[in-house]
Amino acid sequence: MTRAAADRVNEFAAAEIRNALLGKRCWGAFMSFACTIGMDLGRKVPRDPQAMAALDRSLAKLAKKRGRRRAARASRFVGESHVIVWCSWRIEGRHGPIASADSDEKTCEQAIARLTGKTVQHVDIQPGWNLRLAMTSGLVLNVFPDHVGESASFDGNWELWRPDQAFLIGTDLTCRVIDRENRPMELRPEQGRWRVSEKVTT
Amino acid sequence: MARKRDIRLVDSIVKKLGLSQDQRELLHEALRHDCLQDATYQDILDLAREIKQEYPGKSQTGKE
Repeated sequence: MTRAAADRVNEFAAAEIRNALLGKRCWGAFMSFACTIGMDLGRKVPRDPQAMAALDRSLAKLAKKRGRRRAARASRFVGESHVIVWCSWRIEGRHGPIASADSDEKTCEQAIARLTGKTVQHVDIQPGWNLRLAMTSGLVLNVFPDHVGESASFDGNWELWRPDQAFLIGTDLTCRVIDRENRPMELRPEQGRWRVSEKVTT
Repeated sequence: MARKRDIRLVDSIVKKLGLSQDQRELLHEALRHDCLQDATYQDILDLAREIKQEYPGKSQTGKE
């Protein structure tokens, strides 16, 4: 792919990501392992029944192994826009920084929880896929893709999942698009839309 | 450095089992801190194995 073509793909992906986030209310923000963030925004979409059943069974088996009477419950819904942040982040309020991925777990969890109920008012995607979400109440989520190259601690930076596709910001700081069956998608410039790639990839 | 160590451990599990992107997304959901505090490496490995087994249809690599 030429540089110009790659730039066009990136611009198109960034525009779609902006549209998927702008004006959307975050109804669920949570912390997962290693202070990573999950955010559900927009319409509530029932999780794929197969995936939901798999989650329930997996959590039930784990609870049994751990000798717990009650299994943890995963959310039955997912946002029409679901954001996962694996890389470094910082949350700011009107009066300054509140927490970052470097903060202790409790501080991280409390700061992330504050994103719930807020609406995205401005989306800024800068070169290198730095993401800035300005939300109501003066909260700002800054995302810094610092997982780069083969020695990255995690194979990914941040992701946007939608009902039909996912945008994945990788350790090479490019955006890869896949459908819900993990098949790579490519941009059809003439149609201005994504479709499943015909190339065989590993 | 706990965060770096922890995320590296989960990355190693994802790679070891060859989880697909959607299986990795499910693992992230399953490890919500409000649901599953104090999960050990073995817990996460077991959970990832269960997810792969219970939701295999869309797995890409299947290394284990």
